[in-house]
Amino acid sequence: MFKKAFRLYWDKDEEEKWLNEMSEKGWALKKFFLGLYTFEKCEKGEYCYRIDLMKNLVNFKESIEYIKFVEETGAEYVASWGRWVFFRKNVSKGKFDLYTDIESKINSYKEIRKMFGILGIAELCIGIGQIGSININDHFRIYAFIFTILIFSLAAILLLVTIKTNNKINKLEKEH
Amino acid sequence: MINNLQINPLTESAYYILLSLYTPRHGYGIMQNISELSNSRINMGPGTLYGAITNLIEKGWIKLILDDGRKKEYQITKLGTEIMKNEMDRLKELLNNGNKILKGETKNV
Repeated sequence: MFKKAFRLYWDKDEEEKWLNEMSEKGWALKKFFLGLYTFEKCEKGEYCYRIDLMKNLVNFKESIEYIKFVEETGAEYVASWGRWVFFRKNVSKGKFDLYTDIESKINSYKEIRKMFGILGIAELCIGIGQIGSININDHFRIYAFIFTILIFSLAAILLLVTIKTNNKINKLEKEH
Repeated sequence: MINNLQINPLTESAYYILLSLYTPRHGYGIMQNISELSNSRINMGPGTLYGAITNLIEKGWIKLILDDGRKKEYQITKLGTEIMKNEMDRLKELLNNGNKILKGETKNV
């Protein structure tokens, strides 16, 4: 039995929480594609899910090695998207956390902050460039205008996620 | 010379990884060994361990000695051993001073 759900997550911690809640209800993530999550029936609370941002895209040698390394410890690769990867571990095999000390937790959030920050700034630059291309006399200027608004919205979301991730890092550093 | 190579104290993770690699081990073996050595106090996550291994290889404190395509085995290097000894001396100093002063206090009480 399968179940599909469409969601857009910007925060991997919230996404992780949702996937684990689904597992608690007896639905285990099996596939992910562009916000479309495919779940398969499982025992209630059978799996613990973890999401990670890798240094490279999933088809890179380094990423394949990392996935193999994680799998060797009893976890399972579920799906991936760009540099993001979903892992799960059967709860009977013990606790599952990818990062177990503050330093590595901070480093993993720094990697996330860097990615969203770069994307946000790039998007912002594209948006600014786009303003210049709106021709007042053009019949299609309304579309160019909408397009520009969309790009700026995306830039705003990406930069907000960057700030949110930055706050997480600050909080962890205070604990340190 | 060594003092120049290692300015900061080792992290607990780095210390236990180096110690585990006196015997060649693969990733999961390191995790299990650390868990045993610490009486299950430290259960290192694969993300943490992977990052630490990459870092220690870059520093030349451990090296890859076997890669059969499925599993990779690592071992401490000569430099890593020096670093370990240096850190143990530092820890000894901490412990000795702690003992000296705490025992002194107990006597005074």
